[in-house]
Amino acid sequence: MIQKQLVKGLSDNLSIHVSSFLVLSLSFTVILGSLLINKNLNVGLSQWGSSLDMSVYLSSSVTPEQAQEVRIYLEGRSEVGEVKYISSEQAIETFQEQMATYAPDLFSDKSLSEVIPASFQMVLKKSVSAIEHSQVMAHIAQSLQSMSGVEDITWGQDWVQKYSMISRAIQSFTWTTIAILILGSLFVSANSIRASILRRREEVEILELVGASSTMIRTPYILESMIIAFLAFVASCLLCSGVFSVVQNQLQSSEDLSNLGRALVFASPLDLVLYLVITVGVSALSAWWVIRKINSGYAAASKGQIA
Amino acid sequence: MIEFSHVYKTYPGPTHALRDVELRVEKGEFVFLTGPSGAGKTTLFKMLSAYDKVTSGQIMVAGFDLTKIQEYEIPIFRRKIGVVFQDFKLLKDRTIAENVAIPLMIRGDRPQSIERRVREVLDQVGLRDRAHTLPEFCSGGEQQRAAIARAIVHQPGILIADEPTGNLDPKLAEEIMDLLERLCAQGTTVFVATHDHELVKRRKKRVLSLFKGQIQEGFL
Repeated sequence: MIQKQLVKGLSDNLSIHVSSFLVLSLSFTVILGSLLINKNLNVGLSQWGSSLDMSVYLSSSVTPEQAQEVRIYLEGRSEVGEVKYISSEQAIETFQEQMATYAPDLFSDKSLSEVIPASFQMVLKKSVSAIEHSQVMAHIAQSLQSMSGVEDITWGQDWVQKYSMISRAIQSFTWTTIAILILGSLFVSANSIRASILRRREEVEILELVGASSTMIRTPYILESMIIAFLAFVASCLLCSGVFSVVQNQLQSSEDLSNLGRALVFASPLDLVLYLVITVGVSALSAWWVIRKINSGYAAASKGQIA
Repeated sequence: MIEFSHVYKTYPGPTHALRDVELRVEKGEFVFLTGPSGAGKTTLFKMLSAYDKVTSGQIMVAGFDLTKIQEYEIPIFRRKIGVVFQDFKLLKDRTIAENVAIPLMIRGDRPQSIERRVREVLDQVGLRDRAHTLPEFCSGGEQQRAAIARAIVHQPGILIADEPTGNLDPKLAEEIMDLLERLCAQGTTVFVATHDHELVKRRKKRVLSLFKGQIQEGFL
């Protein structure tokens, strides 16, 4: 009996269901797209963040013992990969080579050795994750600040902080968008099922009067809503997958962004299962909410008939 | 079996459809409910079948207190009774046989058992050859007989019929009344609302008269 009502419900209200399917597909696509953006924001950080290195600039009055203490500290950290010492002379030499074309007079400036100090260049091991990268760098920098002989430390923290700020703003925006769209999807589903129920209200009344239980009456409508939501979910996955492939191919074909393209990730099977449960669950909930208002046991009487 | 105690039903207006109705019908009784149009017969039947709720008072039917019945108990109660509505209330998109089968499908009977019982009941009401016809292609009398068939197919303990012979010719009306009396003889309590005083006179059953929402008892 339930199957027959379900098939009838889907076929009788085809135009309403097609409209709902289109709207839900669009909503779900935006939701899934937002989730993918959130997921891949950290990928961007890992791609660029992992290439950051730290420069520990020593003061001009640093003693060999103080410099050695800094080296021992850096090499003693398990996250640290390579530590390289660059003396003041080597730094000047590199600087002069770079600036020879632009400022040749700098070669004769003897005070250069006081301006360009010795430094340690450090990079973290590749095993350190993108999420931990900036945290580890910040922690090392904090420890080094208190050591004697250390003048300044740079590790691209300004860039990382700005990226984190932008990343957080994007995540807030996408989560707000997701919440609004989920509410909107609830409304669309409820409206679609309400239209379906109102067209077949008399059937609900008669089935109530002959003793059909709430489960028998409500199940076809709830299933109807779940089927539309499931189809919309499939459509949104296909759409997002298509757009994702295009974006990934574009990035991979670019020289500068090919690593980023390779690192991008689509939703995992678990992500998709959770997403399916939420989208179909929200639709089922909205259908149940609508039908229970009519299927109260007194549907016929609540139409306001007077004998 | 059926007991009304100080029952009032008032609709917005206010319209007092039932006023201080007191009645008692024992198991296995056959009772006619008569009264002019607007007396409240259909309203009384609606209260009796849990179609609607009373404004005040108490109604006991088949062990259920309809004034305190819980939402989940309503379908259980309705499966114990059979109701023939004045406007038939047949599903337009189901055939006569499918309409008649609904109470059995709701009960969860096996398909073969349903088919057999539906055939039997359609024979009893003379609709065997209209089994696969949609209600809209049936006459008023055929629809009425289909409604009666649906009300009796599951052998209810109580049968409530609102003008069950209103659209039938005299011969068919007599056949239907004979069927209802047979059901009563088998233990079903039968409660019939009718305008047909001649029918009531012929059948010599207990009669309750309703006038302006109040009951007056009598026997013919």
